[in-house]
This record gives sequence, C-alpha cells and structure tokens, in this order.
Amino acid sequence: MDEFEQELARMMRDTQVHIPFGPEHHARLQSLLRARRRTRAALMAGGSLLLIAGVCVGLPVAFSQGHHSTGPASTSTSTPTSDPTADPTSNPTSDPTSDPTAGATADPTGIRTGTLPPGGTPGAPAGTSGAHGGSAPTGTTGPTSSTTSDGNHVQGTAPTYVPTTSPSWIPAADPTHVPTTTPTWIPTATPTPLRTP
Amino acid sequence: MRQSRADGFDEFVEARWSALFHLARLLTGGDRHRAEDLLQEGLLKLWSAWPRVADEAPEAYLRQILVRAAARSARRRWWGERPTGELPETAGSQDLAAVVEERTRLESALALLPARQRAAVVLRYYQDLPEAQVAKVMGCPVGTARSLTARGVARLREALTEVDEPVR
Repeated sequence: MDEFEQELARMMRDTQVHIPFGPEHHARLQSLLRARRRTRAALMAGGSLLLIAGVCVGLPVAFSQGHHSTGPASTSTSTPTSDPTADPTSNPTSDPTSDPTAGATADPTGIRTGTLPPGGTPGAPAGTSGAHGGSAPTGTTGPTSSTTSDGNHVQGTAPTYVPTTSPSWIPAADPTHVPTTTPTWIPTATPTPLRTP
Repeated sequence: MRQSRADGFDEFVEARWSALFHLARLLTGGDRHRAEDLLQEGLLKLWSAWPRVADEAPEAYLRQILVRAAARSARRRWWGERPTGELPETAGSQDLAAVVEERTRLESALALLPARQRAAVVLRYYQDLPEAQVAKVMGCPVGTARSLTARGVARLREALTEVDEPVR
C-alpha cells in the first residue's frame, strides 16, 4: 500500500462524522417496516385466495375428467367401417327370407347368446344343433342372416352374440370395455367370416 | 418473537447507524439522500433476515446488501430531487470545516467512479477488507475485484491530484 492509498484510507475514515440514530430515522424505518408487513400480509392473502380459487376450479375439472375417462374409450372401439343397416342388400345371402332356418335358430329378439369359437370363425353354433335335433347345423353352410326385432338387419354368419369377456378385437387401449348391449356394428367388426364361404 | 427480533434489531441499528450511514454515503459517492435510502432499504432486508443472521454477522450481511444495492441503484438513470426543509449541514468550527472540505473532495472524486469500482475501493480501503473478501461481497472473482480496485484507485489518484494542484 503506497502513500496515496494510505492517505485515501485515512480520508475515508476521518471524514466519518457521528450521526446518531435519531427519532426521524427510527420513525421512517418503522413506517417502512409496517409497509413491508402490510405488503407481505396482502401477498399472503392474495396467494391464499388464488390457492382456494384454484382448488375450487381445479377439483371439479379433475373430477369431470376422471368421470369421462371411460367414456371416450368406448367410442374409440365403436368405429365401424360401415353400418350393416345402411346397405342391407349388399350381400345377396343376407336376405331374411332366403334361409328359413335362420329364423328358427335365432331367439325372438334376434340376439343370440354364446361365445365365438376361437379364430373368430362361426362354425357350429351350439344353439342351432339343439334346435334341429342333433342334425348338422344349417348355419355352417353359409352366411345366414336374421332380422332383429327393431328391424335392423344383422348378418347371420356373425351372430349377434354378446361377448361376456373382452374379445381380442377390442383395442388394448381399452381393456375394461365390455359392451352390455348388442352392438349393431359387430358383423363388420369381424370381417373374416364374410370372406370364408 | 417479533418483540425479541425488534429488540435486537433496534440495538444493532442504533449502535451501528453512524458507521453504516458513512459506508452508504461513500458507496453512493456522497449523495446523502441516496445514502439514507440505501441504508433504509438495506435495513429492511436485514430485518427480514434478522432471525437467521443476528447471531452470526449481521453487519457483513448488511454490507453485502448495501454494496449490491448501490451498484443496482447506480444503473438507474434519474434520481428525483426531494424537497426538504433542512438546510445542508454547515461547519460549526474550523476543524469541522476542514473535515467537511476533505469529505467533499473525497466524495466528489468517488462520484467520478463507476459504481463497482467505487464499491471495490470503499470495501478495500474503508472497510479494510482483503481482496478475497471484497470479491466475495461483490460477488465476483478475486481478479475482477483486484482489477476494479486498481482502476478505481488510479482514477481517484488522478482526480484528487488534480484538485490538489494549485491553479496557475
């Protein structure tokens, strides 16, 4: 430290005059402290209000989203490529009058309860064998059709079964979806029987 | 709790007000009003942190607040004038007049420095801190603190020498 630096340090120290912490300083500091406390309290209150408002808005939204979480999944599986009722004459064998045995094997409501054989090919439905006294089921010879009670035309080769378990053709994204009503789009969802004569 | 906090805090402020005010005044280049604002702002922040720093080093904490706030406030473009009913302090005696004159010279020279150079010089020569401590307070590397101090001293040397030279 050279002479100038020593002189500089001395000047800085010697020029300090004693200024007491007077009442005006005290009053100003106290007023600033009060203002700071008020600001903090206001911020805390505002934050609490925002939190409460967020909870009030967010909880119903969260509940509604949780409620609708199973809804869109069922619609995702019901994407039929074509409605069987839209063009009932597309398949000439689907005429209800062409196969009289079809009406005998179907229940009055047009809904058969049963399980689809593995592979998805409707071979010999169990319900048809009993109805004809153990004879060969007529349904195995070709696609049959039936008409539901509400007039909807349902192709017979893929009987309007109600699956009791989750079938393999339901996308894996919705494993919990079990249709409880007879979907009219089932025949188009199982296209393989239509190709097999 | 608030009462105990206020007690310790008030004692500290009363005991150290004068030195802290002088430090703030040097840091602001002699601006008394800015120095008081700076000190009040620093004391507010110290009050918030008082339970944490009261038993350790409250003055070091406040010094750091003052240095950084002074550098920040120096970046503001304009400091508004404030009307006051008090006249500037006047010299009551010859010694006091000499002190005031010397202080005016010093503060005028300090006011020429950039804020960071001024802070480095004040911390190094008024607070008598080592370079590492200056760097820590200013939040910069030691080399930067050393450079700021050296440049500040060189500029002060030039300014104070020019003032000392007699007019020809």
